[in-house]
Parts: sequence; structure tokens; C-alpha cells
Amino acid sequence: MLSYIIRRIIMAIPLLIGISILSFGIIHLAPGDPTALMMDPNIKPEDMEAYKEKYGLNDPPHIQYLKWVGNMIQGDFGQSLIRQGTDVSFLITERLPNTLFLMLVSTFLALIISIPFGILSARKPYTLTDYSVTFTSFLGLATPNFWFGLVLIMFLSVQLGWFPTGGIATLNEPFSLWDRIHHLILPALVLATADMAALTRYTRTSMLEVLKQDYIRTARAKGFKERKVVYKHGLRNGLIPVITIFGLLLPSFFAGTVIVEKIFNWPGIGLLFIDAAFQRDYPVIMAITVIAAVLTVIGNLIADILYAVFDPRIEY
Amino acid sequence: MKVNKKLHWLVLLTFVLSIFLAACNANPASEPSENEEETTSENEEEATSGEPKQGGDIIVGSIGAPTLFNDLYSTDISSSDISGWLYDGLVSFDENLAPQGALAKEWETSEDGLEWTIKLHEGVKFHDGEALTADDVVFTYSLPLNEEYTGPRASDFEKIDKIEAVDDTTVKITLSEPYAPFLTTLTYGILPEHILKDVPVAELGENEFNTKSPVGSGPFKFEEWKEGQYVKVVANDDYFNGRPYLDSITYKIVPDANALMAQLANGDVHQASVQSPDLKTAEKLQDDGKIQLSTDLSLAYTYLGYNQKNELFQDIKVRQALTHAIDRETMIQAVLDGDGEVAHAPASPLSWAYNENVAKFDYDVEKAKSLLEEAGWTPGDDGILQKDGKKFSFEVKTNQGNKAREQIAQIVQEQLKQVGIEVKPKIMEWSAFIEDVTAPNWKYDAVILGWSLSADPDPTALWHSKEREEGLNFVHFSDPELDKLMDENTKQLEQSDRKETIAKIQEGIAEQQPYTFLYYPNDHYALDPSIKGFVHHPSSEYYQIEKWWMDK
Amino acid sequence: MSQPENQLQPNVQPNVPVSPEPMAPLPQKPDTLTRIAVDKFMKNKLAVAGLILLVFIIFAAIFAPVLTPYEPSSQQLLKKLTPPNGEHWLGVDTLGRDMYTRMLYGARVSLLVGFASVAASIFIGTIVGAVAGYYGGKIDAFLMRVVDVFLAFPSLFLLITLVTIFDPGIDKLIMAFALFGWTATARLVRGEFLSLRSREFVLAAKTMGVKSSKIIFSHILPNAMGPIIVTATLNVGIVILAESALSYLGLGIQPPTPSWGNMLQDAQSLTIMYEAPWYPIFPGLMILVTVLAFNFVGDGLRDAFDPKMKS
Repeated sequence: MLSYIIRRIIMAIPLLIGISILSFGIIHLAPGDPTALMMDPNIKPEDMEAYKEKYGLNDPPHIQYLKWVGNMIQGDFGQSLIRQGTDVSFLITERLPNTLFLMLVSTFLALIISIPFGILSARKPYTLTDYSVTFTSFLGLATPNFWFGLVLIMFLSVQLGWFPTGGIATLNEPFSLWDRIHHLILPALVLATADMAALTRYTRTSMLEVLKQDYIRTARAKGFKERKVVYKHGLRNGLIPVITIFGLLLPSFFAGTVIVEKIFNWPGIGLLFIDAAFQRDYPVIMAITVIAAVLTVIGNLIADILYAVFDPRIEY
Repeated sequence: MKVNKKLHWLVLLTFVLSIFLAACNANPASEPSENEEETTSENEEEATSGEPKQGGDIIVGSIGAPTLFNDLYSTDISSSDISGWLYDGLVSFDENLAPQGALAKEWETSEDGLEWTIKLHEGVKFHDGEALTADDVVFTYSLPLNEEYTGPRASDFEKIDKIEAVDDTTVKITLSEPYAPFLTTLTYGILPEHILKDVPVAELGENEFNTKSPVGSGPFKFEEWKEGQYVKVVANDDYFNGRPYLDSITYKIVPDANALMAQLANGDVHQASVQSPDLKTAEKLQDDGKIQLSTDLSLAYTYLGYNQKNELFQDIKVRQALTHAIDRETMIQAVLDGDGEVAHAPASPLSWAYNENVAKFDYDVEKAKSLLEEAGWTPGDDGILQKDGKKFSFEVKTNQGNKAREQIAQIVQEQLKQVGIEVKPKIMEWSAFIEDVTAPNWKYDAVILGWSLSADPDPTALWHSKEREEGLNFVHFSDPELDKLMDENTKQLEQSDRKETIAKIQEGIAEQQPYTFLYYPNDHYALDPSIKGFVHHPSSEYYQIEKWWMDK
Repeated sequence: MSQPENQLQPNVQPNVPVSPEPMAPLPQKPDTLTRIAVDKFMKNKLAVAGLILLVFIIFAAIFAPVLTPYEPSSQQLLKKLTPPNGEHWLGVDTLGRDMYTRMLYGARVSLLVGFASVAASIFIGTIVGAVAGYYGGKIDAFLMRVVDVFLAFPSLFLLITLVTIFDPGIDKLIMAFALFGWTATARLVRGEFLSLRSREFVLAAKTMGVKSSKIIFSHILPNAMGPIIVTATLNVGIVILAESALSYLGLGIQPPTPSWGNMLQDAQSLTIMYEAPWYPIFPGLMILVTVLAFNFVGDGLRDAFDPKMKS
């Protein structure tokens, strides 16, 4: 088992190199640079040149890349080009926990809603129940989430006052767990919507497969109650593929945060990324893409390992 | 002077503000500070609803986020708004754009305009208790003159030849030539020499002081900056001009305009600037008693600029015809719901130097057509004007994210189609857009942008031909006569003389229509009904916030 | 739906440019399989409903100029945000343009972006997947690592970066979507190839000295077509949604060109929700319904092509 894990980690190394090259390469195709933000009659071109020189914007790309990777390995993502004197790692460590927290809660929400519905759907395939579940989950998949978010804010927050309009906590108030949860519900729900649909579908498919297996038939033949057959025998095996799918859904969760954090004013890395992209704050953009990708790789690694743990048929 | 700050978050986020207008938290020089202090302390106990009350934690909402709190290095409006609370400059400009003393009690200029003697208030203290003296002023204003200085503000100080402390409260500045707009330089916030003197000048921009522990002498002290969420400042009990009424200000960052409106509606923020597309919602909230709304003309204008490097726009008749062909009245109705005024001149009506007697090119399609014909443009087979086999077709660029400008681009396209000109709107991401438009690329035909103007009306930065190659005269406007007048204007120390000169410059520019001046927008500030003591300032959202108080 | 012997592919994918050579006869008998698939598909009511809807929308998009008397860009500024009425069936937008007309022309743009980027990404994905799966070994390992790299990125992050780099335009947008949409197809095709390449008919072709490219495109690929079509169908929906998300961020199709995404974005404001609540409904509903329809059809096709699933 340990050797399997080590092997998987070693396999991830070329992946990480690829990730760094790709994100660096794409960003450096960009026209425009941070000096564009300083368009002010008071800023003279020679000042701009000095600025570019200082931040190494005049170095050849491969030198910039090597410098960047070298520093990154030491945990130094450089300084923000826009926010002088601010380390990128500071920005990320301040914001990443918020995003991870949101993703975690959202994931949990997606799981507890979608798995029961997926099972329900699989138990009665091609019935009205199945169609309703399918239809609803597709509805979730097809709704533009920025629109869904605005509608929720409009009705539940502004009109009815049930939820805060955004942010992570009420300002000028002492910390309270309820306050945090209160702020979390709407963004987590919107973030979960699209993946909820996907998870429901996967659970359904996977359970359908499992419920046709011989051992289920055997269990039924033995006269076990249907509930027991489905939940005890079926569920364990049916959820194994869902674990792997989950690893694959991680990037889409990250992507979702960009929109959700903007709508709900959630101070996470998605919001930071949007700002950085518009301002061409290269170090921040690169750090976030790389971190999101690395976290995805780690997520997939964990999913693989869990898969191996749960499924006795896998050899490692 | 720079691009119009009100219209959209991108602009707010990215555009450099002019620092001149940042530090507006000063007391009028005429009013001795001691009296102020007395009044406030007397009123503290038995305040009635009509009189200022001590206390209150206000949350102001902003689409932009700050970067650092040091006027000599920051380039965005959020940063300078907040640093305006933390630091004091020597002077500021009041709501009528008249200079008033801040840290400076009074100032004198020598007859030749070269020598400035500035007298500071006594007993001013930094937030850490150290006294603010003339040495701090000399220290601060010498930084941009230092060869090692890496910030973007050096050129603002380049007219300074020598700066020295005469005594603890007197500063003498010698200029290399008479410079009328010099007061705007004196708005930069004063930094504490005792904290920063050992920091190498080259590294000052990155110093922690700017982000983690700024210390100024302003009405509020830095408390906390929660990344991506808010910046909190608390009242400076020892403020030389009297403790502010508010206990604290929380500058809440809300990057989405809709979210900001929702927060305003729910009372999650007490103050916010309202963009014109949301004006109707703000008015509704006002009718419901949820907010009070303050509306007034902004010190800014929006324009359609023509690149004169492009042959299409080199003929003055063509430029005048273009303006005739654009229906600005209707544009204001459609884009701003009538919330703005048609602009004709390169200056704001709010400025003392504004000249309203400039040439006006009102909406007149027939006139536009005949002017174009005089210029040699005749309709081709496809209805598009042609000259020497070349079609009259060009691209209008503007930045994405600014709804008003995006709509203007589409309106201009439709309206110029009526006179046979083909316009292709191109809405671009901000930094690529600015890169294309400005020196040395000038990769554009026409551009929709806005300028936020400085309190000083000097037109040099935008219109002088020496600003073409590197500066902001990216439309390549050039008129030797006007150049001379512009050189003259900054040397004229008598305001009436200068006004005359600038009036001629404005007439000359308006006649030649290097821009189609579109409109003067309004600023709208929404405030919680409990906020009192607010004074609307044409270019400063939080003008004299130390005088605000909450009636609760 | 009977088909001639020598053309056994279900002819539902005109937008999938996979075969540079004419289809060769398959050494299997999938016409019965196809018939089973069609039968299964027809039984799935949601899928059939989706298909009918899509056909309807596609026709509306094609015949847009015939179906409306207005130009999509002509403005009546002072009429802005007039609610639906007899003259303007779906009302008038913020610049006084007829919404019904813009919906029709918007369908063209949204569908074009959807179909073109999926076609391009399927093209790239199929070639990469086919090469990796057919040759295996080091080529396979390398290409799959590349795929892994792309899959590790949250695609929206890369899309945003890419779209801010090139200015947003229809062609650029299609390129960007294609560049990040091909990986799933590549994996899928590779999987199919890995299992098919050791089948008898492939081995037979190899021993007969048929060229590799011919084996890939004429012999193996047609057999992998089912799952490809399913992915393609689902992806069109995803792209239409992604375009609207980019529009929300101001990076989608740029006005005045109408797309459902940028029309919805134009309506994305509390003020419009108060003043003209009907305005966002139309583009919002079109996106929803169209994406739903693509999903239903894709889902129906998946079940139909899947030999393991029995209804």
C-alpha cells in the first residue's frame, strides 16, 4: 500500500512540471502589463521603465520561468505586481482557507443531497420518480449559476431578509458560529448546484450497475429486505466509482468559486483570481492556477488511494 | 487628472487617482483648531438630534480594494481614499475646489512665485504620539526627489529645487520656475520621518509600513486590514483638529455592483457610491427611507477621442461632422436616464477656469453630411462614405465592464451609420485596452474614455504637443499657438490672468474637436439615513469624514 | 431508420469532422445495434422531447431573418425597456432593440459557439486519443500526461486567462473552448482504442498490411463513435453555459453581437429585476431550455449506445 502511494506521488511530479509550464506559458502570451494601470499624466515613462526593470518584466521568458519555479519550490511566490510590498503567499494563505471552507461545505451539501436521490432514481429506473429526479438534476446543471445566485439574493436576502447579502461574517460583531453558517448557506448551495446534478447522475448509473450484479440477486433471493439489499450490499459497492468521480469534480468546484465568490462577495481565491486576471498581476494569477491544479492533483491522489482502500479488487 | 472614476469597478480598481484630491480631511485654515475641540467636547454629553453626537461605527462599501497606504506609491483610488483618513497633507481642496489649509496653517509665495513659505499647525502628533514637525514635511517631499525613489510620483515634485525646514513649524520650498498648480503637490500626506528614516529609499515601496502598520497624523488610526474583506480604522483621539465623531470606519470591499446594492438595501453597508445604471434602485431605496441619496456633478467628463495619427481624423471638418452626427442628448437619456449634462469643452463646469463660450456642435445630421461632403467624402454603392476609393470605416475601442461606455459604443455605431460611416465597436479588457491606446502603440482609431479632473485646471498633460510621444495626449492633438498658451498658464500666478489664458486654450480645443466631448456625469452617494454632517464634494467621496456623525 | 449496407454510421453527427476518408464497411453488423439504439432512444421521452426542441431552435436560428421584421442592432433609444407588447413580442432591451429579434440572432451565435467549439475539441480529442490508444507505449504515456495536466486545471481559470489574453471575439472564444474541451474526448477515445485494437478485425487489417491511419479512421473509429457523440452532445450544453458565465464576467461574446449569455448579463442587475423583471426571463429561459435539451438528448444517446443498459 505504501509503495503504491509513493509510486503515485512520483507519478505526479511530471504532472506538476507540466502544470507549471502551461500556466507560465499561457500568461506570458498576454499583451498588456501592470504599468497600464498607472495611466496618469503624472507618471512619466522613465518611471514606468524603472518599474518594469525592477519586477523583471524585461527578462527573457525562460529566465523568468526558472526564477519563478525556483522561488516557488521554496514557498516563495514572489510579490504582487499591483500590491507592492505584499507577498503572494500572504494573499493566498489569507484567502485559500475561505475557499476551501466553502468548497468543503458545498461538497458535503452536494453529497447529502445527491446520493440519496441517485439511489432513489436507481431503485426505480424509468419511472416517474426517476424522471423527476433526472429532470431536477438536469435543471440544476442547466441553470447559469450567476443568475441563480442573484435571484436567491434578490428574494431570500433583500426581500425576505432571511440571509445576509454576502460576505463571510457580519462586520463589527464578535465571532459566532451561527453567523458564519448563516453567511455560508447561499453560496454553498449555489456552488453545489451544478455538481449535485452530476453526482446524482453518477450515483444513479453506478447503483444501477451494482443492483444488477449477481450478489445482489443472491441477496434478494435469500429473502433479505430490499432496503437492506440496497443500502448494505449495494451502496458500498455503488459508491466506489463515485469517489473517483469526486476527484474529477474538484476542478469544477474551483472554477465555480470564481462566479460564486463574486456574486456573494466571498473573500476567497476565486475573487482574488478575477481581480488579478484583470490587472495582469502575473505572480498572483500563476500562483493561483498552480495551487488550484496542485490541489486537484492531491485530491485525485486521495481519491485514488481511497478507491484502492475501498475496492478489494484493485491490486497495488 | 485621470480617467473618470465613477462609472465602473474596473476603473475604480485600476485607474490611478490623482492624489491632489485625496487628502480632503483638513480644517479650513481660517478656523483655529482650538475652538473646534472645545465645541465637540462640550457637546458630547448632552447631544440632541440636531447636534453632532460622538460615537458610531460606520461601514462604507466599495467596489475597489486598496493596495497600500502611502500616497507616494499607491496608484488606485481605494488606497488613496483610505490614506486620506490616515494621513494629512499640507493643503486640501474644499467642495468648491478652493484650496484650504490642512496641516498648513497658512502659506506665502514670494513675488516671483519661486519661494513658498509654509507655516504648520502646532501640536500635531502622529498616531504613535511623536510630534509632526517641519522635518517630517521635508523628509516626505524629498523622497520623490531622491534618485533611488521607485514610486510613480516623481514628476509631481520635479519643480521643487530646494526644500528646507526653517524651524519646527516652518517649511521653505524653492521652485525652479513659477508653477501655478503647485498647491496640488502639497496635498500628499506627510509620512513620519522617525519611523522611516532608516529605510533605504529604494525599498520604501515594499516596506511593511505601507501595508501592515501605516502611521500618519490623520483623524483615524489604522487598526486592521483583513485581506479581501475590509480595512478598519479607528478614531484618533489626539487629532489636532478635534477627535472625529465616529468611533471607527470599516472600508468594506464588495467587488460586485449588484452585491453592493443588495448590501446597501439591507443596511449591511452604511455608505456607497451608486453607479448610474443602479440609480433607479437607489431612488427606490430612498423613497422607502432606507438611504439618503446625494447627487451632484462630478469633476469629470466622458469623451469620444479620435486618433489623429489616423488619416481619417486629420481633417477638422470631419471631426466637427462626427460631433454633429452624434445625438448626445438622447444618449444621456438612454445611457444615464438623463442623469448628466452634455459637454462641449475640455473642462468641468465646476472649475473656476471653465469657459462656457466655446464652439458647440449640436446634433444636426444634415450639417454633418454637408461637412463630410466638403471634406470630400461621398456615399458609395453600399451607402458607406468613400474618398479616393477608401471607405469611411473605423473601430471604436473602449474598456469592458463599464456599462455606460459599452452602450455608448453601440449608440455611436448606430448613429454614425445614419451619415454613412461604418463603426465597429471593440470592447476590450482593461489593461490590453490601455496598452493599445497609449504611447507608444496608439493602436486605435477612436476611443471612449473619461477623465477625472484635477482641482487645478492646467490643460498641459492632455493637450500639449510635448505630451504626445510619451504622455496622455494619445489623440495626437497639436497646435503650436495653444502650446504657447499652455506653457504660459502655469507661470501666471494671478488667477484672473490665468483664467483668460485657459479660456483661450479651451476655445481653441473645442473648435478643433479632437474629442467629441460627450457628457459630464453626476456622482451619487447613498448614505444611511442616520449619517449627518456629510458634505458633497465633486471629487472626494469621503470628504471630511471626521465631521460625519451618526444620529442613532 | 434503415441504412444502406456500406454506410453504417448513425448519421447524426454532421459536425464531427473525424473521417478524412470515406467510411469503410465494418466487419460487424451494427445496423441491428443501431436499430436497437434508435428504439431505446425513442423510448426515452425526455430525450425525444429534447431532440424536438433542439431541431426547433436550430431552425429558428437558421431562418432568423425571415422570422422577424427588425434588425438585431437597430435602436430606438427612447423606447428602452418597453415591456412585451403587440409590436415587440418580447419587449425592448436597454438600448431600445427588439428582444425577439435579438433572441433569434442570439440563438445563431450561441449555437455556433457551442457547435464549433465542440466540433474542434472533438477533432483534437479524437486525434490525440486515437494516436495514444492505437500506438500505446511511450506515445500513449506522454499524451496522457499532457491530458492529465490539462485536466488538473480548473478550466474556467484557464479560460479567463486565455480570454483576457486574446480579446474576446467569437473565433477566439471558440478556440479557447476547444483548447480546454478536448481532454475528456481524448481519454474516452483512447479507452475505446485500447480495447478495440486487439480485436480480430483490427488484427486482420494489420496483417493484411492496411495503413495505420486507415485502420484508425476507417476501422476502429467508427466503432468508438457512440461515446464520442454522447460527449459531444453534452459538451455543447456545457459550452453554452460557459459562454454565459464568461459573459457574466464581461469576457464572453461582445455586444452589439447578441448572444444569450451577454443578453442575460445585460439584465443581471437588481435595478432591472425591479424595473423590468420580464427582461432576464427570455435569455435565461433559452439558455436553460437549450442546455437541458442537449443534456436530455445526450443522456438518451448514452443509454441507447450502452449495450450494458437494458430498459
